Amino acid sequence: MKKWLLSLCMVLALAACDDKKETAQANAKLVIKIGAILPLTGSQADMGEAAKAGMYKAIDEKDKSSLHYDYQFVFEDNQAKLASMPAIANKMIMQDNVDAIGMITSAMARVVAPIADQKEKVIYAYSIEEENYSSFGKYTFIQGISTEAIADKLIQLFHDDKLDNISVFAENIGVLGSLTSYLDKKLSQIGIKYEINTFNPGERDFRIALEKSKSKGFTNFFEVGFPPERDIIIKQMGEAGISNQNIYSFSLDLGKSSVAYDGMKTVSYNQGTVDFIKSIQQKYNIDNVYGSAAFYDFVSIVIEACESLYKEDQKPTAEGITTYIHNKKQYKCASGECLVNQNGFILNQPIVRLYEGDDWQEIKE
Amino acid sequence: MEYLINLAILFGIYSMLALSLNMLIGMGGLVSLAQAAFYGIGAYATAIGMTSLGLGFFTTIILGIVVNAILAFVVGKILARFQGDYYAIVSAGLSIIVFSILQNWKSVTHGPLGIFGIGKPEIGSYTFYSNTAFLGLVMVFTVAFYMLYQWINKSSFGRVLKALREDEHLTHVMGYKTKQYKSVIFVLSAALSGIAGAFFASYIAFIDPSSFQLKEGIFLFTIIIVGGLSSAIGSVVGALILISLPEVLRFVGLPYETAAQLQQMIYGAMLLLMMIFKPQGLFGKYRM
Repeated sequence: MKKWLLSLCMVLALAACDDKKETAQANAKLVIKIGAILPLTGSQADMGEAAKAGMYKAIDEKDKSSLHYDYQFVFEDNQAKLASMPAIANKMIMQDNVDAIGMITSAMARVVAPIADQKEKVIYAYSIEEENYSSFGKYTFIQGISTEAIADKLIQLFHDDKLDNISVFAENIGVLGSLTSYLDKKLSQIGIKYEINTFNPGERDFRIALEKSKSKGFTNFFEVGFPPERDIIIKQMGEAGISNQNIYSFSLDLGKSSVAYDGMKTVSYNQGTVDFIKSIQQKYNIDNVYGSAAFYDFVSIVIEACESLYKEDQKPTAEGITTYIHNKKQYKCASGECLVNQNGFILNQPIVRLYEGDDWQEIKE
Repeated sequence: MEYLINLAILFGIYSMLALSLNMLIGMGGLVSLAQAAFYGIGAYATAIGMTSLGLGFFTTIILGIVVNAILAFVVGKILARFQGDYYAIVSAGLSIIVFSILQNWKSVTHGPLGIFGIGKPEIGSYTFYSNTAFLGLVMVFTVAFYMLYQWINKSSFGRVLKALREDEHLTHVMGYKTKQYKSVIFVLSAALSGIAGAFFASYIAFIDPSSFQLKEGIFLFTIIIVGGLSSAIGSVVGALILISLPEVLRFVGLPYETAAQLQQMIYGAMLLLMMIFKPQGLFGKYRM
């Protein structure tokens, strides 16, 4: 009897397990993998961490029970090196089976675009405003910022402060190089005494150049650089005896730990609204958030496209996602509304804020 | 498979670079950090030649060789005056100057925005469009580099270079024009690096100055130190290890949150251990 009861229990238990398995299989959601190739180590690791936080925020905000797919992330580190991009992209596509890949620069997207087109995967990157930038790949989306619009705001600031001269120290790198070109053009138009000193990434000593500018009669200084060059040059401006009120700096979504002096003005381009930036800094415990908004937008739009395609009984293919984003033309992003053109270029609204002092007190937007 | 082909292409390109650098450092004892500069010039010659001048890939290789040879000849004359650490420092200076030119001569190089749309090699009507075909071509050149290295190594020119490496003064006293030997090997090494650069530009289809910084020269130096100085096989194995090791670590299954940092630490530790137990490199015939 005991044996019979035991056998019955075992059969029931096995049946229950099988039943659970079947229920689980019925409930199992299909997985959509979203990859990101980021600089997670090295000098630009901050940017990679900010991008990751943006991706997590996009998924954390969703009501997971209402989603029809299980969205998973795959991260790979490339230390911002171009040479490793094709191999990593291939690994992500063939080994990890990702459906979409995000990366931090349009240069990387240019390298990956032919692979993504061949394997039919969506790719996403952010860059400066250049409307043909997305046209190098069928499934490529580039989110851009208008460096010309930022330059306009800077000119307005110099005008408001009644500056009669300005010496610009600008890092010659991607987005900052583009901003400097516009600044050069616009400064020449308004007839202010100015000079542009460009420096390469990795330069550390600006003291001689600063002294030279001072000897030419320049009293106002504006730095346009990424950290750590940005922080070094501001410190050296202070050491050179330049008054804090005469120092202007530029920031791309930098946090409050970046160098600023009492009385100094910082013009900050932010990819997201104030609420977005604050929430991401608090929840994910990061300071510099350059990249968070772009990757938040990337994940958000991919999820939105996949869910929408599901409701229309269509598969979330690269073609489907691309068509969805193109047709949408305009969508809600971290900075408010973003516009998509026929090439897949997504124009981010430029939010430029003016901060003053070492505590980064916001003066105006 | 496609992933492995991509890695194999990179391995081929870095093997060419390592072989050309080992001719200079391993055979001649001339510690140069300028290799990234010549690599970059070769890449830009192909990029500009193919996108702006409409030249074919193989013509741009010749263009890169000529530009590199002229520059190396001029710079080599200056470098030939130096020895040891001074040679390394001056060559590092050249690397920084070339990077600065690539970064700032915007009308030609497009500065930090780089050059895109670089085509694939063509022979007649055949285009090496697929990665497999491209890999085949890269391997043909890698083997040619390897054979050239071995040929020079066994030649009387190679023997003089090795003598120069051991004792430049004594070699000079024996009647050899050591400065000329140093110049010739510097020009040859630079020209060969340019070929590797051409392949890199065509493979990646987009180049910007960030790929040709001084740290790239240091990376190449690390390859031949790990593989072994004055050894052709050491150059190839060194490239294989330094290209594949970080990639192998991607598959170790480390948690995503910390994988990148742990990979770097493991990579560094493995190189450190290799240097502790094999200070002359895996196939080194000469220790600095």
